[in-house]
Amino acid sequence: MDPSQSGTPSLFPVMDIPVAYPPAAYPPCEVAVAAAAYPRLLYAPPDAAAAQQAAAAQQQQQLLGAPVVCPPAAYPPGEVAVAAAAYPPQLYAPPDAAAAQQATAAQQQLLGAPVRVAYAPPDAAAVQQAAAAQKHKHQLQMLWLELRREIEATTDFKKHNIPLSRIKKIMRADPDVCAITAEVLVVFPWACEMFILELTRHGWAHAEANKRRMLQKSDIVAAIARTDVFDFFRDTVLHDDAKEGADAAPAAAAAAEKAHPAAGAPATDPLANYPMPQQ
Amino acid sequence: MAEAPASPGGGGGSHESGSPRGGGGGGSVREQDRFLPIANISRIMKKAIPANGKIAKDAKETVQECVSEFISFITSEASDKCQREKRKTINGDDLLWAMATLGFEDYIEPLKVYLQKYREMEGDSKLTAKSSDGSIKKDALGHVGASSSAAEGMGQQGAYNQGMGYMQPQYHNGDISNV
Repeated sequence: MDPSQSGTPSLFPVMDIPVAYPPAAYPPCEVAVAAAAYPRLLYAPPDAAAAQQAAAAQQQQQLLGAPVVCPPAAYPPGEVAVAAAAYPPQLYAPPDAAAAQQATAAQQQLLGAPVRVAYAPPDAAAVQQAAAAQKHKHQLQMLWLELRREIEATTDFKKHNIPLSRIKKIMRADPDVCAITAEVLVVFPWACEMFILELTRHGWAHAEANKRRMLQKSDIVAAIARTDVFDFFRDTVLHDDAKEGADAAPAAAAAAEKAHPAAGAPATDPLANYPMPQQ
Repeated sequence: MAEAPASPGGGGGSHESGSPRGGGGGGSVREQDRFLPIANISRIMKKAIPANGKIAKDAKETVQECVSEFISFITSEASDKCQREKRKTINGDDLLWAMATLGFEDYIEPLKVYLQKYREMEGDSKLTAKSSDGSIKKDALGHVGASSSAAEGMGQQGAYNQGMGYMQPQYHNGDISNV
């Protein structure tokens, strides 16, 4: 009866709203359900439950606070005695003596180092030569890398920087050579180019060492004298130099630097030039 | 001009160490045929020096002689290897072996790559190209051989005969292709 009686006054405002809407859209049952739901909210205040929950939380917090008061009981007197006993041994065993000894040894070692540095010979010239040699080696490697890229990029096997006919004629000059395959004539031009680049690069290093910007014959001669792989050229080059006479001095100097017996004993040149036994 | 008489002498000397015929052959060969063109050598030398560097003429001529000596040196070593193995034809592997033996190991790797590419290309061309093209190439090679033999004179008669022997299989191949 109460909900129905309380529902009656609310029915009026609800009935007022349908005035703006078609009445058939809202059946009376739904209106009753809505009215029933409304009083429940009005007649069910949750403040009591909330208050109870708050009280429970406060109690839990108080309980959690209890362990804070327990620390003294958690540490038995025995442990305290152990800690107290451990403290005096540290006080009665100072390691300063060992530390002082180590410090003394370190100081002695440090004092020893400057002596070596003081007695080291001056390395300025050696450092410069090593740097120049490393630069030269690096530049030669760059040359090889560039040439390798050129070789790998080549797609026309008929294009060469050196004519094949000349290479073939030079090869044919040897009577022991019977026949040559086409692949030899295709590969040899690249080998010749590598040889020319290496010989020229070594010669240029010599020209740079002498502060010159023009590559001369003496530079090529010096490169041949200083590079072991070019030993078999010394006979030809030194022979030409001996005949010319003008460049004999630098050639002799280069040979002397290498301590090669070519100048002193020409007879030994064939053996030196051909270390590999033929047949 | 001064170097002209000196160079043949040097060439003769190197050939005399091999055999008397070589000396004769070396002497008879023209200077133009004994060296690579100096223009090509000069162009390659410029790659090895900075752009502002210069090259004297005598330096180019010295490198020109050294390259010819290099070719003869490698060829002689490869030829000796073929003779030891009872073979008459120098191939790419013999060339690479000779370079490695004589101290030019740095040259082997890129040349090996190039040789492999060339052989693959040759294989493809043999499969796809016609045998007539092959015969044309062989005829050209034979012609070059004949001209070089004629230019070299009496000392190379053996080479000329061997060249003739080599040409016969070509005709045979040609006949097969025609059939």
